[in-house]
Amino acid sequence: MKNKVGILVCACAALIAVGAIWLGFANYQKPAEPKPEVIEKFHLEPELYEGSQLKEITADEFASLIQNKKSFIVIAHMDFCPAETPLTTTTEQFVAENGLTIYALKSDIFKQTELADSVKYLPSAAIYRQGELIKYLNAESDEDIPFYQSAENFRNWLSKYINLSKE
Amino acid sequence: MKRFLNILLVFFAVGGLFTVLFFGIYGAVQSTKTHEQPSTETTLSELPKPEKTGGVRGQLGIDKNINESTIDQYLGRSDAVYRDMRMLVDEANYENIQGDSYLSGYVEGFEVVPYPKIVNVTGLPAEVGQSYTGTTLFTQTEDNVIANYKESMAFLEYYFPKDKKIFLMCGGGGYAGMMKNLLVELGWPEDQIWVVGGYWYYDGDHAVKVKRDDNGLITYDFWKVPYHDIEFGYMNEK
Repeated sequence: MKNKVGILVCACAALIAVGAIWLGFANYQKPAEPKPEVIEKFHLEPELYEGSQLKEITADEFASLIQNKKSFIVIAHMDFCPAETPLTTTTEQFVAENGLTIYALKSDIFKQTELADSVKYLPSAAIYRQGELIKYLNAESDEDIPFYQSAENFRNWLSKYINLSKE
Repeated sequence: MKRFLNILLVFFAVGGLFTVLFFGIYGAVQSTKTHEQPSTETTLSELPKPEKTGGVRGQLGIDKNINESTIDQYLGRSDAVYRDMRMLVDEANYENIQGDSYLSGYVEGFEVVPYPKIVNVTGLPAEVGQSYTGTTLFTQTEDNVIANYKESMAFLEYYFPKDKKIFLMCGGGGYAGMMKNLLVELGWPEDQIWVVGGYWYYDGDHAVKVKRDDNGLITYDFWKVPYHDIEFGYMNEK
C-alpha cells in the first residue's frame, strides 16, 4: 500500500513538473537579436535615378514593389495634421536637388501596407533593398530628428545605405 | 499485470486531475492580468507627470506615458477634462495633400473644442493653404497672446478648468500640442496638461466613428460629436 501511494505521489509530481516546464517554454520569448547594420551600399532601381519627384503610389503598387523585390525609397506623410511636417518639404527639396524619384504613401494608404507593421508613427521615410525593409526614420527617435529637418541631413542619412548616383 | 494496470489507471486519473487544476488556476491568474479596467470614481490613481516623448512627435509635445496607446487607462476620471481640438470640418484644404479635412472619429469621453477658433493658426504646409481665418478668441503675435473679447479667458477657463487635469487630442497631435503651449503661456500649470496625441493613431476600445462609407457613399454623423462651437456674435470685443 505504501509503495502504491509512493508511486502515485511521484507520478503526480512528475506530471506537474512536466506541465510547468512546458508552460515555461511556451511563454519564453527569445529576445529579438538586433539586425546588424547594413554597411554595404546598394543602388536603387535604375528608373528612380530620374524624375526628381515624390510619386504617390497605391497600396497595390507598393505591394508589387515588395513582391518584385525592388530597391526604392518611400515616405509616408502625415497629411491629416496641421502641424508643421518638415519631412515632406525636406524630401521635395532633396529630390529637386538630387534628381531622384521617391515614392510617397498617403496616411490611409500607408495603413494598408506591410510598412505599417514596422513603422508606428508618421511621418517616416523607409529604405527598401530588393523588397526588404532596411532602415526607416523613427518619429519618436531624437537621433533621427536632424534627418527630417533639412535636405542635406536627409541626403547624409540616405547616403549611408544607398548609392545616390546611378554609376 | 492486473496490479500494474490498476496503478497506471490511478496514475492517469490523479495526474489528469492535477493538470486540470493547475491550468485552471494559471489561466485564471493570466486573465486577471490582461484585463485592464479604465479608472473609476473610486480608483483615481496618481498620474505620471507630463513628459514629452522623443523625436519629432516629442517636438509636437506628445506625451511619453499618456498617449494614443495608453489613454484608455486614464479615461473617465472625475478630476480631469478631455478635449479634442479639431474642427468638424477644417477649412484648410487637406485634400491637397491627400488628407481629410473632416473629423472622422474621436475618443469617447473627449469633447471637441475647435482650436482654430481659439487662436490664429500658423505653420501649415503651403499646399494646404490656411485653416479657418475668421474671428478668434485670441490673437497670437511673436511676442504675446492678446484676448480679442472680454469673454475670451472665461471661455478658456470654462472648457479648460485650471483645477482639473487636462488631456488634449486632435488628428495627429499638432493642434493638441499648440493648445497646451497656449494654455501654459496664459498661466495654466504645465504639469497638469497632457498632450495625448492624434486620433489617427488611436486603436483602443473607445473610438466613436463619425465617418461612414455606405457602399461608396461617404457620410459624417456629426450629431454624435460633442462639439462646442464658439458664438462670437454674442461676445463683447475688447
